[in-house]
Amino acid sequence: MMCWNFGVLSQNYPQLDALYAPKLTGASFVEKRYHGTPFVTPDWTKSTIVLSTGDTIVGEKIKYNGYSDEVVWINQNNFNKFTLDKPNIKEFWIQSDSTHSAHYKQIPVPIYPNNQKVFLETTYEGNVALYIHHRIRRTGIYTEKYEDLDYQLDVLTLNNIYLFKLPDGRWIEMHKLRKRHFLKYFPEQKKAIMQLAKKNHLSFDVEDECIQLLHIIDQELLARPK
Amino acid sequence: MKYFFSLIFVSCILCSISAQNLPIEKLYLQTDRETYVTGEPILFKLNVLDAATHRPSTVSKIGYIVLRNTHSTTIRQLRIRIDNGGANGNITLPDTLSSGVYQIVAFTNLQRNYDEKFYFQKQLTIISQSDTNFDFYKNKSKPANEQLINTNGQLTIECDSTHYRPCQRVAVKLHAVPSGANVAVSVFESKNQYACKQPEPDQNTEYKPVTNYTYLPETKGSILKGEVIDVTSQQKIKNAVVLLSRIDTVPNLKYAITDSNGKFRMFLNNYYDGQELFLTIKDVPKNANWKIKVEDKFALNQKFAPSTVAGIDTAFFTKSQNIAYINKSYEVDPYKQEKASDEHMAPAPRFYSGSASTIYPADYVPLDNFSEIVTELIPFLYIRKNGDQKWLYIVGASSAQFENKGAALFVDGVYVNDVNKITDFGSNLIRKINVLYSERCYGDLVFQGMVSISSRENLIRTLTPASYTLRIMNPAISNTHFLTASADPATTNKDKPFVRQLLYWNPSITVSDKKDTEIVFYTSENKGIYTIKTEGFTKNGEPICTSTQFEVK
Repeated sequence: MMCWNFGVLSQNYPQLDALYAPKLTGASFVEKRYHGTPFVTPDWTKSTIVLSTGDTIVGEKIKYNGYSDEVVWINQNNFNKFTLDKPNIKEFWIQSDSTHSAHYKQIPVPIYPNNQKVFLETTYEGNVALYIHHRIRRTGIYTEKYEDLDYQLDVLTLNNIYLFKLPDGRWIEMHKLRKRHFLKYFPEQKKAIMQLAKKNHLSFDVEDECIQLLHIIDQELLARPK
Repeated sequence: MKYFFSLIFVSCILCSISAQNLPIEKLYLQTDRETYVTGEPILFKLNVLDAATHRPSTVSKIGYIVLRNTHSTTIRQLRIRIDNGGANGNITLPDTLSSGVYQIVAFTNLQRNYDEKFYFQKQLTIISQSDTNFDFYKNKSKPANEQLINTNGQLTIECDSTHYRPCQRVAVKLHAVPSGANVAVSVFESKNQYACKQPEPDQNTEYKPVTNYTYLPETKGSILKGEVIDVTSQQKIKNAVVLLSRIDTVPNLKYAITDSNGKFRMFLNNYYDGQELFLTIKDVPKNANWKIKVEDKFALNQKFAPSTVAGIDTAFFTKSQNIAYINKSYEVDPYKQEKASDEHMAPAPRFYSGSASTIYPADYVPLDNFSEIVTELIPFLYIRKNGDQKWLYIVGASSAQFENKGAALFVDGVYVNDVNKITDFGSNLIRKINVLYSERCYGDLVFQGMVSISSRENLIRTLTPASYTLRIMNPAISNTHFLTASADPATTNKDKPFVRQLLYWNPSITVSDKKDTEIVFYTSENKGIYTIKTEGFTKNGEPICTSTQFEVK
C-alpha cells in the first residue's frame, strides 16, 4: 500500500524529472575483438553517474572499460553504445552485485605520468585512502583460427593496482597488498597497526580485510589529535 | 480484522487522491506606497504561500509580475526569483505613462492551472509628471461603507512621538509577536490611514482539483513551453525534435520532443537568463511548413476592471509631482541598492566535453568562402549536396548503426541546421573552427561528427532565420538586486534639497517573539502626514498588518 502511494505521489513529478535530466554525451563505441575483455564490469549494469556539472543521472546502464579507462553507455532507447566524454564524468557507482556497488572517481594520480586522471575504484577515503586502479593491459597476441583464416587478437589481462594516499598527501603503489611495504610509511604506528590487525583478525593481504583494517587504522590511530 | 484492513485501504486511496495534487499557492504582494509619480520605482515584497499550510511555499522558484493600465495593456512585465517563498524587487515606471489607475498582477506558473481570479491583483495610482488635470480621478469623495481598520493580527507598533520636525530622527518599535514574524515596513506621506485588509476566508474549496497539470511548477527555474504546428494545415506535429541554443563560446544544445499534441517543454536554468534563445526543428521534411510557437507566460485573459479612485486630494498629486521633479532636477537618488542572494551561473549544456581538432583560418592564406576553407584547411570534411540541400559530411564519422544525416553545425555556439547559411563565410569572418571526427550522441540524438564555427562578430545574429526557426529573448531575472529606502540627512549632499515622500522601505524585517524590534529613520524637509505601514506573515503563516500615522511640521 505504501509503495502504491509513493508511486502515485511520484506521478506528479516524472514530467519534472524528465525535464531536468541532463543528457549524456559521447562518441560511438565501436566494439573490437580481443582475447579477454576490456571491461572490468562484464555486464550492462545500472549506475548512478555524477557529471562534472554536479548533475546526477540515475539508472543508465554502463560498463567500465579498464583498457581505455572509459565509461561505455548503452542507450536503452536505441540500444546503441557510446563512450561517454571522460571530462564530463566526475564519479559513478556501478552495481557489482545485488548487495554491493562499486564507486569510481576520476582522480589525478600524481605518481602517474603527467598527473594522469584515471577512474579509480574508491574503496576507502579518510586520512588514508585506498583506491584500486583496475587496469587492463595488452599482454600479448593470440592467434585465432576461424574458417581457415588466422586472426590476431590482442590479449587483454586485468591487473589491479592498489593506490594508497597517505595522510601527508603522498601516494604509494602496490601490485599486491603487502603489509611490510605499507608499514614502511608508518614507522611510528607500526606496532599499533599490527596490534589492530591482530585484535580484529584482519589480514592486510586480503583486499576486503585490508579495507576494513584501513578504516580501523584511520579511526583509532590517525584521527586522534596529537 | 477485515474491517481494519478495509479502513487502511480506503485511507490510502484518499491519501493518494490528495497526493495527486500539487500544493495550491497563494501570492501576496506588498508595495511601498499606493500612489506614484512616473519615473519613480514601485518597491515590492512578494510572499508565496502554500494555501493549505499558510507557510512559505517551497515549490515555485520563479514568479511573474505584470503591471498594466486600464486598457489591460502591459506596461512592465518581470520575471523574479523566489527564495523560500519570498522575493524582493522593484518596478521602474516609465516617464511616459499617463495618469491613471494601474494594476499589478502576480502569479506563478503553478497558479496558471487555476482561474486567474486567484492571481494576486492590486490597484495603484500613477501620476504623470506633466499632468495638471488628473481627469482619471473623477470621484473625489470617499466611497460609502468603507471599512477602514488600521490593524489586523497580532502586530502592534509604537512611535516615539506623533509629531516631528523636519530632519528629525524617528524610532519605531515593532512589538514582539508571539510566534515571530517577517514583515515589510514602509513609511510614506499619505493623508489617509492605510487600510489593512480583513483576513480572507479560506478559499481552498473554490479551487477545482487538478489531476493533469498543464502548467508544471517551476521548482528549479523557468520552463519554456511551446508547440510545433504545420502552418498550412494547422496540424500539431508530434515527435518533432526542437533544438535550443544560445550564443556562447562553446557549442551548446538542449532538445525536447513534441508529444502527441505537438507540445514540448524545456527547462531553462539561469544559463539562459537574459539571453537570446535560438530554437529550431531538426530534420524538417522538404517543403514542410512547420513553425515553432512559444507560449507567452505573461499573457492574461482576464481584463483589468479598475475600481474608482476616491478619497485623495489632487493637491497631493501636485505635491508628489513637485517633489519628484525636485529630486530629478537635483539628481537625488533616495534609494539604496541591495543585492539579493547569489546564484551561481549554471554551466552550459555542452554538446561535447573534451578536445576537438582546431583550425584558425587566420594562420593560412585568406580564403573567400566556406567551401574553400573546407577544401583547403579541414581534412576529411566535405560539403555534400542533395538537391538544394547541403550538409557536412565527415569521412569515417558514421557507423552502420545510424543513418548518416551529417555533422552537427554550430555557429557561435548555436546549432544551425542549414549549411547554406554559412557558405559565404570566408577567413575574414571566421576566427576558429573546431571539428569532432567521430559519430556522437547527445542524449538520444546522434550526429555524424561536429563542426563548430566561432565567428569574429557573432555573425549568428546576421543569419536569416528559416521559417521553422524562432529567436526569442529570454527575460533576465529582475530581482538580482532590489531597492530599499531609509532617509538620513547625514548621508545626503548638503547642497541638495532633502525632500522625500518615502522615508523608509525595508521589505524584510524579522520581528522577534521575545523582544521588540526597533527601526530608525529620519523625516525629511517635506512636511505632511505620514503613514507607517507594516505588513507580513507570522511564522505560522498568519497575515499581520498594522499602520499608524505621524505628522512632520
